[in-house]
Amino acid sequence: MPAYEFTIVVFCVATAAGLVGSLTGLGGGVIVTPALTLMLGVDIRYAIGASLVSVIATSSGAAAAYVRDGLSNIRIGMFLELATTVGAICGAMLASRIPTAALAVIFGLVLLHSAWQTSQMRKETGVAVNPSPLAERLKLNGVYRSRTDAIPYSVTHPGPGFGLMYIAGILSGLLGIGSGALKVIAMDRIMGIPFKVSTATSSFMIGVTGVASAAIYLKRGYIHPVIALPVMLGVLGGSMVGARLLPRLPVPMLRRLFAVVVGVIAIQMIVEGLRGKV
Amino acid sequence: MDIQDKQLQRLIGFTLRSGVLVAVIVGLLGGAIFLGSHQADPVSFHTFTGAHSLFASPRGTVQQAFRPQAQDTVNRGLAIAQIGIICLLLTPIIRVALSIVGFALERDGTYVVITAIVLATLTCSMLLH
Repeated sequence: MPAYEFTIVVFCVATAAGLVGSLTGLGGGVIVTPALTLMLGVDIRYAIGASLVSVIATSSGAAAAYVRDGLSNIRIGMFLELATTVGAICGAMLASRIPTAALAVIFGLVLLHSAWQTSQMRKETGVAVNPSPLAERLKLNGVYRSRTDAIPYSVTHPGPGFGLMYIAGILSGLLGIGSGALKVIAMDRIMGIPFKVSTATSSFMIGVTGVASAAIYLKRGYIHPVIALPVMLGVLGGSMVGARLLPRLPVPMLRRLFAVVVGVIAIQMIVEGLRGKV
Repeated sequence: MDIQDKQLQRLIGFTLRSGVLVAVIVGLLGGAIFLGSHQADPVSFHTFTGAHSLFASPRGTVQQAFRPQAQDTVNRGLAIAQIGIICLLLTPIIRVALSIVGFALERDGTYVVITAIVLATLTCSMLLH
């Protein structure tokens, strides 16, 4: 394919991925990699390199907004980043040591889980009943402002949350994704942190986690400007448009619709991986 | 709890936004230079050969963008685009470094240490092969 045509096609695919990623809350990175590999036949290593760059860009953009809102909890984020950054380095080291077909299968499984996760109705978890002494000592408990008042929250099970964050880091480094879904599970479900705070904190953590594996990707030649640049611009643009559209769209219906689409893509990724075609 | 210092909060927000903005502007510039002279070049990413070794290190990329050697075959525009991407990769690192300052201002020794370990981990990742 000539360079200009390739650039335009990749940019359009990435824009669509960013749009779907932001409307579903899955993030653009997890959509753009299967799109590039399955539709355009791009080698998965170039795809995850480009995807990781786009994930860092969207995270930085979103985090800038969250800093203002006071929703993210920087102490929780920093404490958990001890686990995600080490995990990300392990994942990135692992990525070059396992066959690309295996990468595709793991990617498909993670995608399938995320799709299922977003299609579920979220129940607001109550305030943690038994705040942990460690969380107390690490000053993880906080207060967030809702529209009307300030809501205090406390954090429970920091240990298991920390462990799950390490796994989220490994997957991020292995697959070039933000692992936002798993990060939110660790904070919201396990540590009892309010969903809004979990999402905001996760989005701010994704950039730092991503950078830990990006340096290794760069050295391995996974980040090629011809593909990483249009992917970054497209995903960034698509997710910005998505964020604007979000309040005006029937989100629950869209989520269920896209969850099915993403589920099909995930299965296709697994099948292609098993057939050794990726 | 978030960092309380409003000025530092603003500085962190500014760093994140400008990192993305610089990456987009420098990237667009480099991409335009590349496409301007190579729009018809065939590109294929079906098989993995790795990005050119000059793109695999910040030093090689910068050298390629500003002082290309006659024998180098890599496009200057692409090197500039890659610099944009590298700028983007630096923003979260700067953010972590600024957070250390924030925690130090709050005299929170525990978090100065935790954040310093995160920064050290990121630095380690740059030294790994």
